[in-house]
Amino acid sequence: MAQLNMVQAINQALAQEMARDDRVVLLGEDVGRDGGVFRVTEGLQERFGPERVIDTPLSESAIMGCAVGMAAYGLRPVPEIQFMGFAYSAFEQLFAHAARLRSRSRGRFSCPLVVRTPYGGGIKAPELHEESTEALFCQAPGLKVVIPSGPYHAKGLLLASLRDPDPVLFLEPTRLYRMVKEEVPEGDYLVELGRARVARPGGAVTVIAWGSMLERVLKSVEGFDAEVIDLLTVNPIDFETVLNSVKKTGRVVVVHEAVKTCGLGAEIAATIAEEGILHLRGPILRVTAPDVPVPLAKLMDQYLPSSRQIQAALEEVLKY
Amino acid sequence: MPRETIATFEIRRLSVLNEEGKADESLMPPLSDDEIWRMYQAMVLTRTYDERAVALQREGRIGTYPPVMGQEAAQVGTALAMSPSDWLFPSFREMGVHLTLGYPIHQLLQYWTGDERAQKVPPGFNFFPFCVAVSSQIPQAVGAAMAVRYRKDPVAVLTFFGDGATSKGDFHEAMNMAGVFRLPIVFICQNNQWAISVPLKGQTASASLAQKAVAYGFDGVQVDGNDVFAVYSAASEALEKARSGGGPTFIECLTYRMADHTTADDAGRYRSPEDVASWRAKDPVLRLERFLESRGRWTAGKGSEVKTWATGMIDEAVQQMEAIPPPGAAELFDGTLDTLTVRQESERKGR
Amino acid sequence: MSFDFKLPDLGEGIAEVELRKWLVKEGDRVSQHQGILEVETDKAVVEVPSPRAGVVGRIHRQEGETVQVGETLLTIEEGAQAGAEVPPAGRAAEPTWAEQEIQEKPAGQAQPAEVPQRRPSVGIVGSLPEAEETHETGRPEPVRLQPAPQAFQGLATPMVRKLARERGIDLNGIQGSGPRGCIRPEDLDTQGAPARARICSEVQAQVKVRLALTGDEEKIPLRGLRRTIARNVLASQCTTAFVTSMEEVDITEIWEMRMREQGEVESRGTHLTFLPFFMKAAQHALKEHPLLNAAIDDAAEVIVLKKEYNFGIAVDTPEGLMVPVIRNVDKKNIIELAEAIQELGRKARERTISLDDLRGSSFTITNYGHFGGTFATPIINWPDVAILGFGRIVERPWVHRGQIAIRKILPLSLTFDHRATDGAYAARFLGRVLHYLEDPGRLLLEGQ
Repeated sequence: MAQLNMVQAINQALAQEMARDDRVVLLGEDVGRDGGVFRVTEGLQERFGPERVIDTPLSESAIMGCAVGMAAYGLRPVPEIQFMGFAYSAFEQLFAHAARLRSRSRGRFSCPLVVRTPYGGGIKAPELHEESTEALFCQAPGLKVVIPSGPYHAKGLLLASLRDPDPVLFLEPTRLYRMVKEEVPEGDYLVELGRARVARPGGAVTVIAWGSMLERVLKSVEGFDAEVIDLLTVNPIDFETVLNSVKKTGRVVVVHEAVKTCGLGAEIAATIAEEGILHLRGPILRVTAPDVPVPLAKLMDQYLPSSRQIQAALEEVLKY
Repeated sequence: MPRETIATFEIRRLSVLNEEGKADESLMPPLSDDEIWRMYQAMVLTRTYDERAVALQREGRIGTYPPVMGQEAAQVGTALAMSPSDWLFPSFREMGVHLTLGYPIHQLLQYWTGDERAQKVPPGFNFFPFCVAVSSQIPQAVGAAMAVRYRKDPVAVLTFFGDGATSKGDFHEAMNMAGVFRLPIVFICQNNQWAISVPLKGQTASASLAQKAVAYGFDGVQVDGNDVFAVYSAASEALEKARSGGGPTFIECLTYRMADHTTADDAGRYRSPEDVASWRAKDPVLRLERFLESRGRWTAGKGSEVKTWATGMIDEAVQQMEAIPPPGAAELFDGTLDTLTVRQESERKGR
Repeated sequence: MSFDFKLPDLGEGIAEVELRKWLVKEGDRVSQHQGILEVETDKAVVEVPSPRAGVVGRIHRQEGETVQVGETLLTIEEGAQAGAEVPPAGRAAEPTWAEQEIQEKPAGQAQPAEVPQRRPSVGIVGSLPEAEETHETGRPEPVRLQPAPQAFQGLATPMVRKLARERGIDLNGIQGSGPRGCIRPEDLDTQGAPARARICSEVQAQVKVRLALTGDEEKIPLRGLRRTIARNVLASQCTTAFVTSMEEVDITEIWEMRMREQGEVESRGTHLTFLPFFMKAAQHALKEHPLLNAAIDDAAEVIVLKKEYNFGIAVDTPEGLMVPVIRNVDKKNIIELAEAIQELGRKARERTISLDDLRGSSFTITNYGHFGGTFATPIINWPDVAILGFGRIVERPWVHRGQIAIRKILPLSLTFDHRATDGAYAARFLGRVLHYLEDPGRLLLEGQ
């Protein structure tokens, strides 16, 4: 098995699925000749032609809207939004249409598309290039939100997303694109959507994270009897896995890169409170970014949850 | 170096049938008498449906409804130019297209009662559901056109919107994309001159809406939107051009919203009765009746026969609509996802 | 109170309308702003809402009639029967919407009544539900939250509260070792056992019925040791499956032995009673029947066999019953046990029995015969699973070695927790106690 980084794993998944299924079409800004600004789609236009790897105008709403129409017509488009911060201008198409098409047409039309976009901070890019607003998109019933944390899961989750009958927002943690290498099987394999995984077993505290924060969490919990859950899909969240762990540990820390207010940590904490409060030994703690706009590079380390903050939270809940 | 002229353009308006019902024979599309009679029937049906829908709303039998009165020619003329394999991305004021093409009338009314099940377009109609979010259907139509081209299907995509939509980003992004990729699509703008209370001059400083197509590199044409022959002619030509790889066309149908924006609106607050009256004289149905009368094909008796036929159709549709049992609470979840989430399943059970 | 609803000025210079349709009939209940009829103006069909809530009393005009502005359309009965709001005294009747619009104009700009009023527009799309000023159900009674008796006021997470509930632990007795004194689950393990005696607080709460009294009775507050005893015995009865088994035994030989040795022992300053003999017999029998020298951990669902023989001894004190513990009964001889008993008696009189003296029993002895009484049904001293009671020794005709003789007969009552073991086992245990008591020499020969 080859050691691949996430860029290579995603590229491989796209290439394999395009070879397998001629309905799969990529579109977006610079995805073709340039192979994408992070080179994730490198070589795909050469291999599959400009009809299938489409360099579009700089036009996020039209990219997303076109993808809705393509999907309704029977294709499986994969629109790329160059950075998550640019998705805001495509928000209406994604939120009001892609997510709702099956429902508002009562099943006459479906919208099997996979929106890929890099997300997250710590890459020293200009403003609006380091957003982590996954929770916004989790308010759209009908839209799945998937966030891999490493190359192996990136490939398996992307293949599963490409075969899902409904729209998927696939968020790729930019900071981890080339940071982690893993054994990635060359063949076809799926990682089930809507299923979390126990990334590290433990007994005293459950730490819930996903995507960009997972690597930092795994480093931070060394020396603690912590069970780390990697959600992988943040909508719908696999609360069965979460609650099973909470029943065992009675203590919970949620770590996310997004701001605290109305972040996914709130949803997770609320559900644990609803369904698992009798198993809790202490408060559910959240380690998140502060409630401020994503800063530029100089303050990024102050913004992102740090190992020190994660460990402090662990120590605090372990007092209970 | 002198200043060079690098682009000039002209925008044309096509009119075939004038207000008196006289047609310019040189511009008349090749339509048989039967086809023209069918146009007339469809326009009367649309008018009858529309009047009834407004009354049903006043009686509390359907919800808020956006009348189409005055725009029948723009809708019927376009619909008759379509082929069954073409795709339609409507907004919400094109029920005349649906009626012309035989869409179940009770289902149109059912939608306006607030029953989402009516958005399930029946098999055989390549129609998208009504789209209330102004202009957001336009990029979707462009996407379908991209898929058509990728599949090399002999199909044209058609999308409807109003004058207000041309101020929105999605309109411009979509028009641009269609131009860049030379897609098989026809943009039909029903310029009824009012976006709720804002008149056309508050929407754009352009002399026409049709000229906006010029900026995106394809043809834009204005037609007399109350002239069913002009609309039919322009739409037929544009659809054929799209199907044969000639790229997109923008058709501005200049018409007038004779009624309120919706049944909850009172247009008297923002426009004068004189303005409305001047357009009443340009009524598209009246105009076609005069044309048919001049050809000896229309009499008051024949007119009321058509009206009676249309009324019967609508009566039956209202009965059908009112016989539909209301949706159960569990139907809230229908079609949300191919497979409901664990949470949705448990929420559904609780209802 | 009845309200005549007159056709309001619908604005736009409309003076009359055609009454198109009644949406209500006489006797119907209507709420404020509910549409009650449709009228047709020369502009449109308009639904007219009711300005009042109540019951439709009388309908004055028929469908199809032309009605002038100001003519009465219907009468609405307000008031208690209709459950509708009554305008506060002194307040003018609520204005119609048309009047409101005029009133809302800034002072000095009120339009003259003859200027046509446009119908109010609340929006362009859809219909906006108006907040209803319904008071039909009246003002809700404020809910008075009363703290439950003995409610725990400290800090503990729901998990700890749940555990405490399951194990019957009163959190009031627990010292929290977590942040801000919060009780941790481990605190229940280390401190929960004594507090369990209040297991029945919920049951108690349910049976706390105030007695109907005449006023002629004397009331003694349930306080201090009395209250503790009350709680403990109730808790035991609530949480054990108790069975009492009774026997009689001829202890003439022990009697004689005691008589023989008493003087010698007393000369060393120790008062020799029968109790040390009984304890020794019970201890030896327990050694052969470990399931009765035990406790049950309900939460873990295990029977805990004790390795030590620590006997709780029920002692009558001026305040009431106490159960101090004599430890390591198996390692003490009769005289040492007598000394220990004597020491406990002294502490009880001097009221110096410490909490430590009361903890850690594995089995309990009660010598109720001291005050008379043959048989009894002793209450298990939780967390033990058995208690052995001794009645009053009496001389009785008894078959002894095939002859009827006058013998010293001791009645015994053993209560055991049927959850720990069954009747046959308990009977065998009791048999062994009898066996040793009949012939104390056997303690020497067989005792382990």
